[in-house]
Amino acid sequence: MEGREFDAQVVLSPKDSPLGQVLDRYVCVRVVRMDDVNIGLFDRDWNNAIYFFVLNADEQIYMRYGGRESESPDTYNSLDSLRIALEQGLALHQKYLQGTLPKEARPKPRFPREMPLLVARTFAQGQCVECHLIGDFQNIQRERDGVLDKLTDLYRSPDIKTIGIFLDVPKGLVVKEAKGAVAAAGLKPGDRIISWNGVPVWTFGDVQYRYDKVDRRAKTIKIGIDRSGQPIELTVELPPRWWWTDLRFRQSSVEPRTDFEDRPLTADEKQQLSLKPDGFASQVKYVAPMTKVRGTHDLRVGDVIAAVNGVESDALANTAELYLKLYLKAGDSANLDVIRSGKRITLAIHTYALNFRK
Amino acid sequence: MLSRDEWLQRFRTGSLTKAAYETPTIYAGESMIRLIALVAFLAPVALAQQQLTDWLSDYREALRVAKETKRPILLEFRCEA
Repeated sequence: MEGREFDAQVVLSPKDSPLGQVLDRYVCVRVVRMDDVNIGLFDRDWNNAIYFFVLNADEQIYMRYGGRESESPDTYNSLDSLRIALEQGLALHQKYLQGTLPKEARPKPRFPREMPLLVARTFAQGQCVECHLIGDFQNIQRERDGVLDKLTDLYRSPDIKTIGIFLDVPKGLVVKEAKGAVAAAGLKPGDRIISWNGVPVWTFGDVQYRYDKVDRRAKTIKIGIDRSGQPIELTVELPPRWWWTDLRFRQSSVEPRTDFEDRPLTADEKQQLSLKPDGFASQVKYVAPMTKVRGTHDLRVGDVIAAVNGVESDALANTAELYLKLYLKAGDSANLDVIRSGKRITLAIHTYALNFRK
Repeated sequence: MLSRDEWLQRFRTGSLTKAAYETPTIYAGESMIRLIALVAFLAPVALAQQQLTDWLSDYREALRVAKETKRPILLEFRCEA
């Protein structure tokens, strides 16, 4: 189970351990049922099975701890970084008690019982309101209301590694390695991230939450760092598809399931096949085992998908798979222009929605 | 007494007693079997004596205690399903 070990390590911390000594200065509460949780206040990416908030009795949130990457749910969980975060939380709390901590606008309260679709699938059937169900039904409702923005609502929690940030995880937000976009902006190993687009951040959870709030059409972000005690603000040029993440770990029924994975063709490969240089032509690299049973498509590994419904290029998508996920609804069908063994053929694809708890 | 890491390992397997019987040293002799079983049985007691951090399970109660004691709150959301 995701986060099980970390959960046990935190909850079973001996009082005399380094973490236990800090935890002892907190009121610790562990909530395992989401039924009555204020999901407006405790907004987060609901595909995290373990997540922490540090707050005060007035429900002012100081920081978040948690978050994951597609590759693993545990990459950013560390007893050391949690202890560091909680020590920072104590300092913020001291400011609160002294009346010097700036107050923040409180989000509108919202509860799972106010979501009719979620109620029908959980409360009404006597089933548990699992975290991921909250996120999924929020998206289903958005889709029904015509306001689903897949870049924001489906591709949640952009990966900081995509822009080149590799953290020294036990040390919190200290940078271990800087590559790509952030290296070009001047980020260096040893820098400590202290703000994200102007908002103070204390943990990876804060960073990921703030990054998730960045407009997906943004071209730059501002990252504040502490370099040897000196605050510096860097402007980072965001690369194309900086928001893209691998969706495989998500249980999202607004995602059109395609039963294949692909890779973008190189410029040379496109030229050899006389395909548009700026097109999203891609090569199939994986076909799901149950594809034929589900009747999704007849694609084979090695096929090149040159176009979807006659469309060859797109401002956002760099592969056919991404194009399908961005522009089709789960359950929609499309025609694929495919090159197989040098011959052009047309294949149909019938996407489907993930179903659960029906 | 089990170390904390050993206890966590057995906690992860879902059963302290079952874990004890899966230990290869069980075949070293009957006395070893008894020892392992005894340790596994007493582990929760030993752990309790280790004084673990206190955790509440009621958020409203946590707010009340935090107000009363002027302490901050660490709130963990754990989806166990």
